[in-house]
Parts: sequence; structure tokens; C-alpha cells
Amino acid sequence: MGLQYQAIGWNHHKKRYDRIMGLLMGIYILVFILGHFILHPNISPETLIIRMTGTLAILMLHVILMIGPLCRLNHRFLPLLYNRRHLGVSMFLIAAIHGIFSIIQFHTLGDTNAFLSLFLSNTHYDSLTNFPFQVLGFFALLILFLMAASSHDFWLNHLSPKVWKTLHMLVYVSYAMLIMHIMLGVVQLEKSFLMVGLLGIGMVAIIGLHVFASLKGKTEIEAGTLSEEGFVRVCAVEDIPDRRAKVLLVGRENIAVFRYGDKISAVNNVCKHQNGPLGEGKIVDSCIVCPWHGYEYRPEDGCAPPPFHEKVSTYEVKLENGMIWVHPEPRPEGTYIEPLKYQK
Amino acid sequence: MTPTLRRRHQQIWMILAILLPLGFIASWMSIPAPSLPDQLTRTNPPLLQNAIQIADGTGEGIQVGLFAAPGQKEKQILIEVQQELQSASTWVYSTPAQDASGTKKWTILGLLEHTGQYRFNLPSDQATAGIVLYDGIKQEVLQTIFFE
Repeated sequence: MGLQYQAIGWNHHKKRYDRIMGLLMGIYILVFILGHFILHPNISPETLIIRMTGTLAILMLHVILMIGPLCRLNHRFLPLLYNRRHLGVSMFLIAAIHGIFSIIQFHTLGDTNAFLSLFLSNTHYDSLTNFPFQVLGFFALLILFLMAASSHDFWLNHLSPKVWKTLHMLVYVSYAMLIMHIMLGVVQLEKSFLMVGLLGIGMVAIIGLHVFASLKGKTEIEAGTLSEEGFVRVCAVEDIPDRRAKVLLVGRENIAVFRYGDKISAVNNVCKHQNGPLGEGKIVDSCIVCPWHGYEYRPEDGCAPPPFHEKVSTYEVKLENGMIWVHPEPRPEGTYIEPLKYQK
Repeated sequence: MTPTLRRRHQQIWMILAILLPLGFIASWMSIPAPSLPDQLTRTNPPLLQNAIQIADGTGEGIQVGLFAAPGQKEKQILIEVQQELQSASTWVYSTPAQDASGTKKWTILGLLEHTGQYRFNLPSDQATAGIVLYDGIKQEVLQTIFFE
């Protein structure tokens, strides 16, 4: 049986996210147009559109790439992650306008096919100074197109989270190509210190955030002492904030141990949706909420509440002298395990 | 996120942290000199005081005049773009002689983006036989206009 395509349901949070995103994009466009009319009143509409969409798209891509590490460093940024895909698809649409107008503007007025002209009008592929920078933009846009086209959960389910995630990690390749597209393009053509300064700051910020988050934002704790029954020590009860989790790596097992009220449960840390880190989420209305896209699981059996069907593995937990212990052998997905109760 | 995926992210960013700044710096170092003036801040220089036309040229949809003011060493090229250009990336070079070919022998003046009037000041000691319109994206000569 093939997978079914289901239209996206826009809930209150998504609508609010999209409204704010649309408003900020509108403000940028307005400021850009007004600024250009003051500085360059005679600019042609095509050039204005190419510049406006190009700068807006690269700005949006920087914001998108910053969201992940920011969320790892501080949970207050998680609402930005919730609908990052909307931001990504919007950014692609803006970039596509830039690309289409650029091809029309620079390559359709000759007697050569526009796409042939894009690749063959300048063939200095061996020179940094004269490199055909538009080709880099074309391939970066192609990657963004693949990502936007496969952004719906239909493709996630169809391709599997692993393949889908790998495909979407191509955004890093796209980003690198876009940096070079700008540097070898407008920066070399016009030597704009403003442009190169802003781009440099953005690039350093993104690289810095990603490297810093990967070094400092580690949430997992290493496997501790092993008991005779095969349990692994996690941490003291009070080390886990209420309705939050500690994440433990034992061999290949990625376990999130949650404390909620006077109960403790352990589930697999990997969300079935996009492999999101459940242990970085929190428990809301008796369900673990994945911080990435809000998928929910009950902590005691790892099942998504009806009508959903996702299930994750559960683990045995025990308490000894105020210390939590977990058995790293996973129970089959969706297995109910009585939550461990403790005296506060 | 699985630990494997997290590790892969980390590896990718470590590589990018080295390669991207290298590409960034290499691109900056390879900017041709002289390069096109910054278009964000470019404005038409004022007309030369009491200037008179000393030469003119005509191209496809373009009228060009070379101006000089008595007693002033500076010269000025005035370009009137009368119809939309076929290339959206039209660079203007001045050429010192009719047989001078190649961007290294020309002097970059600026960019023509739309119809209207453009003025470019020329250094006093520079010989100017005409202008070359050049497509900076496709890197080809669009037309050459010599002064009569």
C-alpha cells in the first residue's frame, strides 16, 4: 500500500509563526525598496527585484542555519525551530524569484538558449577572478528546490528519516556555494565593503554558533556505573528538572530519562518523525513533546496519543539511594512500563 | 537527533569552518584591480563648470560626449542611454586608443543599468579615444564607440 499524501493542517502556532515571518519579510522588502528609491531613483525594476530577493534570501538562510545551534544552546529558541520548514520553503521561493529574474535579465536577450548561456557564456572555470559565479547560484538553488519540494512529511515517510535528513543536510553545501556565489559575483564585480562586511559577519556567526554548539551544547551524559542486574547509573533525582529529561548514551542506545511530578520513566531519545531529540523536549499534558516539530509520546509506554501511531522503545528504571538507574536493553516499541514513583 | 547524525553535523561544520573562510579570503584577494566602483554609493559627479564638448560618438541607442572646461585639466565623459540596453550588466571602460584591446588596457568607469544620463570624470593625463561597453557577466565586448 502506497503512502498517502495529507494536506498540511495549519494550527494556531503555525499561523502565528507564518504571520510574523510574512510581516518581517514585508518590512525588509519595504525598507529595501524605499532605500533604493532614495539612493538609486533610476534603478530598473528588474535590477531592484534581483537585488532585493537575493539579499532577502541569503539573510533568511542565515537565520535558518542559526536556529538549530541556538536551540541546542538555549531552549528559549525552540519556538523558532517548530516551523523552520515554513521559513525554508519561503526562503526558496524568494531565492527562486532571484534566480529566474537573473536568468531572464542576463541570459535571455542573446541568441543562445538561456540555460546554455548560463553555463557557456563564461567558461573561465579555472579562474577565481573570472569564475562564472552564476553557475554556483544555480546549483545552490537546485538543492534548495529539492529540499523545498521534499519538505512535506509525505516525503519524510516515503524516503525514511535517515535519507530525508541526509538530503536536507545538503543545505550546508548549498550555503557554501552561495557564499562563493556572492563573493565571486557581486563582491568581485562591485567590491562593496558593506556587502562583504555583512556577509563575513554572517558567515563567522554561523560557523561559530555551529562549532560552539557542537562542542558545548552536548546534552548526553556518558554511561555511568553498571549494576549487577545490568542497570546503568544515570544521575540523582534532583538533577533532572521537573517535566524534563537527562539523556544517556549506552553503546548504541540513546535514552531519555524523564522526571514528571513524582514519577520517572525512560524512553528512546529519538523521535520517529525526524529523529529529533525527545530528551531536549518537555512533558506537556502528560506527553513528551518533541522540541523539533511537536510530536507527542506518552512517557510510560512510548506511544503517541490517538489518533497517531508512532511508538518508541521504553526502558526499565529503578531508584537506589536517590540515584536513578536505567536498564539499557530496550523494550519493544510501545511497551508499557509502570512509571517509577519516588517520595519528593 | 541520533549521536551519529550529531557527529556528522559536527564533522561537516569543522570542515566548513576551515574551507569557507579560505574561499572567502581567496575570493577577496582575487578581486581584479582596478575593480568596478561600489554601486551602492555611486552617484553622478556634477557637470564640469563651463565645460564644452570636445568630441562625440554615437552607438546603438547611446550618445557619448567628451567634455572639458577651459583652464581645467579634468575631463568628463557624458553618456546618454536612450533605449534599454540589451545587457543588464553593461560595464563602461574608456579606451586610450582605437587599437587598444583587452580590459587590462582600458580604464574602468562604471556600470550602465538603465536609460538616462551618466557622467564619469577622467584623470587629466589620460588619453581617451572612446568607450567600450562590456558585459561583465558574460565577459564579452558589446560595442565600442570612438570619439570623432
